[in-house]
Amino acid sequence: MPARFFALSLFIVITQVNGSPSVELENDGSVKVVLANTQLDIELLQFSTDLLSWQTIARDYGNGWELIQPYEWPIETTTSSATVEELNSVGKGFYRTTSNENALALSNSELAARFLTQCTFGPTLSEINNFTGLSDVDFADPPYTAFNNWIDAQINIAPFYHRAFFRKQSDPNFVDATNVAGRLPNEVEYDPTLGHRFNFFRGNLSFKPNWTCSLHGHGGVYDSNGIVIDASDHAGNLDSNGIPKIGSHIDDVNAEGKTIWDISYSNNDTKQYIWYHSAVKAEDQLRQRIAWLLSQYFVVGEEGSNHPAVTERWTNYYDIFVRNAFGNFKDILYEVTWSPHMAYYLSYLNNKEANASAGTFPDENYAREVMQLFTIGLWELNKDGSLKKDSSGNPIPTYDNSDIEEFARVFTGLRLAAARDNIEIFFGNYVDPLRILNDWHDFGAKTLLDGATHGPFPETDQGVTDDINGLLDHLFEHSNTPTFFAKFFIQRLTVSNPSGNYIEAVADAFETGMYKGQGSGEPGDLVAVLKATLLHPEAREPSLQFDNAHGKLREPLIRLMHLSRVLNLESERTYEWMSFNKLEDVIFQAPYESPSVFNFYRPDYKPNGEINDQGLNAPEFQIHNDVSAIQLKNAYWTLTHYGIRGNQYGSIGTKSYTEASPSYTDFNNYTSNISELLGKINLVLASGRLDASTLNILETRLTEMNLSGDELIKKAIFLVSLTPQFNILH
Amino acid sequence: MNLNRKISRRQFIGQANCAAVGTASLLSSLLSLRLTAGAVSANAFNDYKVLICLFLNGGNDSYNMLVPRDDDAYSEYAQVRGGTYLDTGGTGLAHRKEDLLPISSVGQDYTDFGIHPKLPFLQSLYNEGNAAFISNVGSLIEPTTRAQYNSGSHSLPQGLFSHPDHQIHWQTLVPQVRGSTNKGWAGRMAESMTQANQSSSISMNISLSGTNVLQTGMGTVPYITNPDGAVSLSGYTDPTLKMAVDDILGNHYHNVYARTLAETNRNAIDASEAFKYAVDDKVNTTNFPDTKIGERLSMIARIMQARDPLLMQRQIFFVERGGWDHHNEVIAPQENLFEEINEALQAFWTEIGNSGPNGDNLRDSVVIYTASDFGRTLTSNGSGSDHAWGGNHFVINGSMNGGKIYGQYPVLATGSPNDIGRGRLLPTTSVDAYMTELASWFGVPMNEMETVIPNLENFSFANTPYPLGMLGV
Repeated sequence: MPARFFALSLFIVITQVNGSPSVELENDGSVKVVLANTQLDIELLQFSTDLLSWQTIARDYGNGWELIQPYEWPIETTTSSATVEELNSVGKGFYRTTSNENALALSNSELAARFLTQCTFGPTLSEINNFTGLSDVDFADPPYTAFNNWIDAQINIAPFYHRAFFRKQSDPNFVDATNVAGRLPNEVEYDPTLGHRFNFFRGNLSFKPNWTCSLHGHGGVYDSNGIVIDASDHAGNLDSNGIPKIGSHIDDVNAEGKTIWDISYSNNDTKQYIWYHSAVKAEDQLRQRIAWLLSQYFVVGEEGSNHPAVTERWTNYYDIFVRNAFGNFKDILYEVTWSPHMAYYLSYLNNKEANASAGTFPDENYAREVMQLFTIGLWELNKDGSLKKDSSGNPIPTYDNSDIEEFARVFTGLRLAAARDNIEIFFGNYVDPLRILNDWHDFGAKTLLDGATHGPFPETDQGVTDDINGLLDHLFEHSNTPTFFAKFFIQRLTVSNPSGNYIEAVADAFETGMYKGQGSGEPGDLVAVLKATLLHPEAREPSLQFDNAHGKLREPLIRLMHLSRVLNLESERTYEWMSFNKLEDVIFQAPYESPSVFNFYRPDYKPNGEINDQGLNAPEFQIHNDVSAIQLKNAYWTLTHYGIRGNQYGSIGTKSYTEASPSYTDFNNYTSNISELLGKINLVLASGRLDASTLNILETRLTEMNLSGDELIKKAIFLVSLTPQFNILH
Repeated sequence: MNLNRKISRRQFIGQANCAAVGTASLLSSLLSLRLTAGAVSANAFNDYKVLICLFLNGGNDSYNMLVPRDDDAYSEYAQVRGGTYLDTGGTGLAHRKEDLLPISSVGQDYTDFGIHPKLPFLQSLYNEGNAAFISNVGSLIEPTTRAQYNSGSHSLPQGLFSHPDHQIHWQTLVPQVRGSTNKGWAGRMAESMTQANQSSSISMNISLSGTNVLQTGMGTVPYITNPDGAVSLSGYTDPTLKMAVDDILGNHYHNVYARTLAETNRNAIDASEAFKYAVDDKVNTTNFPDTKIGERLSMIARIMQARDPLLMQRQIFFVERGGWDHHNEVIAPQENLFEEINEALQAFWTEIGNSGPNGDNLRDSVVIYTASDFGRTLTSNGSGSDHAWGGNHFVINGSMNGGKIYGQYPVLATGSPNDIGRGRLLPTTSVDAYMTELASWFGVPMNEMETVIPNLENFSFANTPYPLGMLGV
C-alpha cells in the first residue's frame, strides 16, 4: 500500500511531508489534522498505534473529506483543506494518508462480475461474458453507462411471481384471472404440463361478501389498486359429492420417472422451494434480489406466524416485493399495512378501540414496529445518516411511548376479507387485503409526531381508510424515512459502512425520486434509490479496496445461491423446485425464516474484536459463529460435490441421494491448466479479487492434489469458496 | 396494567440500540481492546454443575404423567378425562387407578398420587428422594387468576395455546413478546456467568438437538454436536486439503471483514477439533438404549467425562424430543415416549454414578428438568387431547429435596378454580419460578437474576433464590 506520509505524534513528534496532512499538537494536548483536498480518486486518513494495524478515521472519495462514522469530531472544510480537530482521544500514535496510486486493476469482466455479485444472486460465467458494453473504453468510469443500461434491461424483464408459480402447479380448480381487469397479475390457473401439484388448502365459501362497495378494504375483495375482484368468475368449490372442499389436497402426482416417495416433502417448505427456484433460475435477477432485500425490511417470519404450510398467503405477501421492486416505497408500505399476513404477525388483526369498562386497550405492536423498523427508526437522523443531537449532545428519540399509544388507536377495526373459492383458504382469507369493521375503529383525533392533529374522522369506512393511510403518509414524509431506508438498502447490497455522502445521495434519490436524471420524480421511487445505490462511485470505484473498512460480509444465503448458479444447479424433478432443506438450521438464514420481525441481523451489529474496536457495523456477522461457519462450508462442499442432498456432514437436502445436480461444463475446457481454471473460478466467484498470494496457495495445493477433470473442478471451486474474497464483497 | 412497555424493548433491544448509537469513541475502543458481554462478576467456580433440558416438543399430556390416587380426586380425574381408555373403547383418556405407579407427597390437598405406568425408574428416583414433580406450571407474565383472565385486566402471553409461541415463551421467559428477539434464558445466563469456563473455547451451552432459542444469547449460540460427535469441516481429514484450508485461513488479508472472517473461521475449526479431541476417546461403561433420547444422553455423559480437557465448570445441555402433540391418540404414543425416557434416564443415572476411569459420582452435579409447550386439555376430543396451558414437570438431582410434588396440584374436576374451559388449566406456578430455582442452583446470584428472569419483579418470589425450595432454601 502506498503510504504518502507518516506522522509520529507520540505526544510530541510531528513530521510533515508534502504539506498533507499536517498534524499539529495543540496547547491543551489535543491533536489537529489538516488535510489538503484530494488530488486522487480516493484518499484515506488512517491511524495506528503499532504501525501494523491501521484504522481509517477520515476519507475523501472525491466529494471532500469526511469522518467515517462513528467518529464525531468537528471537521472544518474550506475550499482547499479540511481540519479535523479535538483528536485528543486518539492523539497518541501514527497517522498516514493512503491513496489509490497503486490500485489493483480489475478488468471490465471482473468489474461486471463484481457488480452482478452486488445486485443479483451471483453471476454465472455466461452472464459475465454476455454483459453488454465490456469493450467500452469508459466502462469503468462515471456515469457507468453500461451498468445503468443493464439495470434498465433488467427492469423490463417479465417478473417471476412466486404466487403464480405456486398456482400453476397446485389446484386444478384455481381459475386464471390474470386477464380480468383489476386483478393482480399473478392469479393464474393450474398448468397440467408442469407435472406436479403442490399441496394446497381449499376453503369453504361460507358467505357472500358485499361486492358492490367500492371502498378499499371494505366488504368485498380487492386488488392492490382497490378495485373490486368479481366473485363470479371462478369455478365452484364442491367436490364430486357436492361437499365443499376443505383442508389439504394433493393428488394426481405424476413426476416423471419417480415414485410417490420422491415427492414427499413438508408442506411447510413449499414456499421455500419456490423461492430457491427463483433465486437460482429466474431471469429477473435484479428484481428478485431487491424483493429479497425488501422482505428483510418488512419482515414476516414463520416463527410467530400461523399456518406455514398454507403457501398462497406467503407467496402473495412476498409478491408485494416482487411487484414493487421497481415501484414506490409508499405503495409497499400501504400494501404491507393492509396485508392480513402482516396483520396477524404483528397482531393488529381484529384490533379494537379501547374499552374503558373492560379495561382493554388497542394492541401497540404495529404502531411501534411501523415506526421503529418500517419508516423512521429510533433516532432523529441528519440526511447523511449521522445522529441529530440536542443541546446537551444527546441523540434525540423519534417517538416516545405516548406516540405509540396514540398510533395504536389508528390500527384498529381491521379484519380478514371474506373467503372466496379460487384461492387457498385455511382458517380465513389471508390473501386479499384487510376488510374494515368500523365498529372496532377509534375515530377520535390523534396527535402526530410533529404535534399536528390527525382527525377526528367520520365514522365510516372511508374514515378508517383515511385515518390509516394518513398516518402512513405522515411517516413516509418524515425526514428520517429516506435516510433510514437508504442505510438499510445500501447495507443489503454494497457496503456495511457507507459514507455520509453515499447515504445522502441515496436518501436524496428517495426524497426526489431522481438520481442523476434517472427516475420517476415521485418521492419513494425505488428505481432512483436503486440506481443511486449501485451507480454511486462508492459502489463502483475499485480503488476503494484500499479502504480496509470498505465492503461487507455477504449474506450466507446469497453465497449459497451464488454457488448454486455457478454450478448451474438443475432440479432432478420435473416440477423444477429446488428443495434445499431447512437452511435456517444450517446457515441460520433462509427465506421466510427470520426468527423475529428484527430480521436475521441488526443493521448495527458489531462482532467482538477488530470490527467492534473500530466502531464498524457488520450485520451479517451476527449469524456467523462457530457452528454456522462450519456448516456453511460443509454446505459448499455438499453442493459442489453432489448438489442438493442430505448427508452426514453438509446436509442441505431431505434425501440421501441427489435432488438437484451440479454441472461442471462451464469449466471443462480449463482442467488441463490449473492456473487458467483458477482464473475462471476467480472471475465468477470472487470477481477477480483473489490476490497473488491467495492464488499461489490455491495453485500449489491443487497441484499437489494431482486431480483431473471434474474432481479437479470440484476441489478448485470448493477451495475458492473458502477464501475471504468469495465470502466478502469489497 | 400493560407490562409490554415495561419489559421488552427497554430492557433488551432499546439498550442494544442505545449502546450502538452512542458515541463509540476511538479512545474507548482502543483502550478496551475487546468488549465482553459483561464484567467478570465473581471468582471462578471451583465446582462442576450441569443443567440438562429435556424439551418435550408438542405439548406433553402431563396430567396423565402425574395422576391423583386419592379416591375423590381420582374419580374427578377419571370423569373429566371422559372415563378410562380401556373401559370406554378409546374415547376416554384416563388411566386405570390400579395401573398407576404409587407415590406420595406432602404439601398437597391429599397424599396419594400415581406416576405413568411406563415410568418405573422415575418412580424409584422419586422414592429415593432424587426426583420431584412441579405441578401446573405454565408461562405467565404476572400472577393471574381466572377472574383476571376472564376480565382481560392482566397481561397474558402472546399466542396462547399455540405451539411456536408457547415453545418460545418457555425459552425466552418473555411471553409478552412474540418471537425470539429477547433470546433464550440459558443463553443470557451463560453470558452473565463470565466467571465460568473462562479458558474454554467451547460455549457453555451445548445442544444435542440443533439450534434452539433457549441457548441462544445476545452474542452467543450453543455449540451444536450430533449424538455421534461435533460437526467437523468436510474434507479436513485429507492432509493436502487441510493444508490448503490452513493456508487460506492463515493468509494475511488487508480488508477488515476478510481478516475477521478468516480468524473466526480458524477459531471455529479449532473449536470443533478441540471438541473432537476432548470427547472422541471418552467412552461410557453403561449400554444406552439406541433411541433418540438414549443416544443423546449417552453423548452428554461422554462430554461430561471430558469436562477437564474442555475446561468447563458449568455446562447446559439441550435435548429435544418431538412427538407429543397427541390430538388423535394419547395413550399408546405417550406410553412409547415414556418408555424411551425411562430407559434413557436409567442408563444415564447409572453411568454418571460411575463416570470415567475414576468412577466419579456426578449425580449431585446434574439437574435434569423437563420443559414442554403446554399441558393439554383434560377433556377428550373423542380420541385425544388439545392444546392447553398449565402442566406437570419433573426434575432429577442427586442431592435435591426430592420425593415431593412442588407447586399446587390442581383440582381437575370440570369448572374447578383454574379451569378456563375444556379443562384448560390456568397455571398456578409460573415458568419463571421454576427457572429461578434452576438458575439459583446453577450459580446466578439474585442481583443478576433479572437478566435471566426478566419478569422476576412481577412475582412475589422476586427476592427468593429458591421459590419452590426444591434445589435449595
